[in-house]
Amino acid sequence: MQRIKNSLLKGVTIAMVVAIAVMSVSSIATASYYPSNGRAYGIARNSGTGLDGNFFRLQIKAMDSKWSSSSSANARFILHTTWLAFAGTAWIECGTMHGAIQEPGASAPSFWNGSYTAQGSSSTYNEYKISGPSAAVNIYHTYQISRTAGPDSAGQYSWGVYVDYDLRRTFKNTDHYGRLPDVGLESNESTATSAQWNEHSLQRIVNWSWNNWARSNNSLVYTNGASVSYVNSTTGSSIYTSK
Amino acid sequence: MRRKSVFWKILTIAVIVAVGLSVGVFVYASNPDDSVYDAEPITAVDPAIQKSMEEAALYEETPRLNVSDDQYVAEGDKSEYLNNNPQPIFQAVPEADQYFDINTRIDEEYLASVGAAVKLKEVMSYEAFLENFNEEALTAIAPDCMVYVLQVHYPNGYETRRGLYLDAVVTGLYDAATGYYHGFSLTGQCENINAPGE
Repeated sequence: MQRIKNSLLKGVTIAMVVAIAVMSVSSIATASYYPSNGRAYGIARNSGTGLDGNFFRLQIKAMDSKWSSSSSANARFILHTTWLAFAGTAWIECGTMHGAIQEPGASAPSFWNGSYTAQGSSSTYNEYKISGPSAAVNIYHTYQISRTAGPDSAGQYSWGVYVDYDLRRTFKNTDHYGRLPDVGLESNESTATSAQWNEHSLQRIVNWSWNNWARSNNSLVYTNGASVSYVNSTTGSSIYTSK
Repeated sequence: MRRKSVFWKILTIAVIVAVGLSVGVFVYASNPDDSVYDAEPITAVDPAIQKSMEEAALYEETPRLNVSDDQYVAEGDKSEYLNNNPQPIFQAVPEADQYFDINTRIDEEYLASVGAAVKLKEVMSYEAFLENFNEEALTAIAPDCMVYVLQVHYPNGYETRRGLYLDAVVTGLYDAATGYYHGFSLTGQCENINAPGE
């Protein structure tokens, strides 16, 4: 009887050791795969400062945020966009999205698939559809964020968001210049998907001249299953992004 | 001999159970969004998606030739291409004396449950909205187009794509004739912004 007890004890001990070992490996893999905010990013960032604006062009391909009106899925989004940063935490973004857009009186976000713009800081946030530009696969669009006027009597500058060279919305802030433009993909949903998109003609606007991003001024960031890579080995002004 | 056999049987079962449990934990931990497992399978196009696509199609532009051809964009000055006064898509509809019912977009029960309250729901011209609310313009809306403005105060915070804004006043904008939703502006205080580089 004692030998049976010993055998059982050995079996349980070995099982626990195996379980702990495998779980440890699992947790290491999870920790390295998901960063703190859990978002998927596949973006190129340019180190430019003193910018009059930022510009890029894309061809729409398939993407799916896996949004549905059920409570477990109505906050999901995926987008291909550009962000232009300003002093402090302020930024402006514009691009094309699939998924949630908030409505102030509703208990849940609604759905939008199309161009959009957003602007934010620690004390303000604006999010608007850009109605008009088609969201159909294979259509090309250009997106641009650039200063349009200023300073006014209150010391504020006006920044315009352009899609296909048409002004869509302006935002005001106290910044004469933008900095650190990003272009690429973002999603808050692990099951969201994006075919390979080509964001290209990545250009920064300095002294009202549109200049291609140089590879030496860029960095690539990819997290949580999103990917980004340069299209060829010589320039930094064209990327592939997917998820 | 029989005891040895019992030992190996127990060991085998224990290892199988342990590995099974571990794989389960790994799969679960690799998907931090629990909703993946809660979500109902989608077998047809969600009616909300269908409605949004139909609305978007009503206002779709013809793609511009200079951005639809398969060419990379040359460097240089593009100022000459920029159009700061595009034709508005949402025009005034003078005969529209019946506006959509804004109450269909307000969930009073939900707002009460999160301590939020409607501050304003009012129809006005877009021009008046821009002036009264000190807002910048969406060029898609004509100045004399009528819009429905819905403003809600969320003292306990409003969750956006970029983070939770506390003590938020959120102003939503709708086309008064059709109920088409344009978007919102918010003032509040966000401690932890979710944006690249932040």
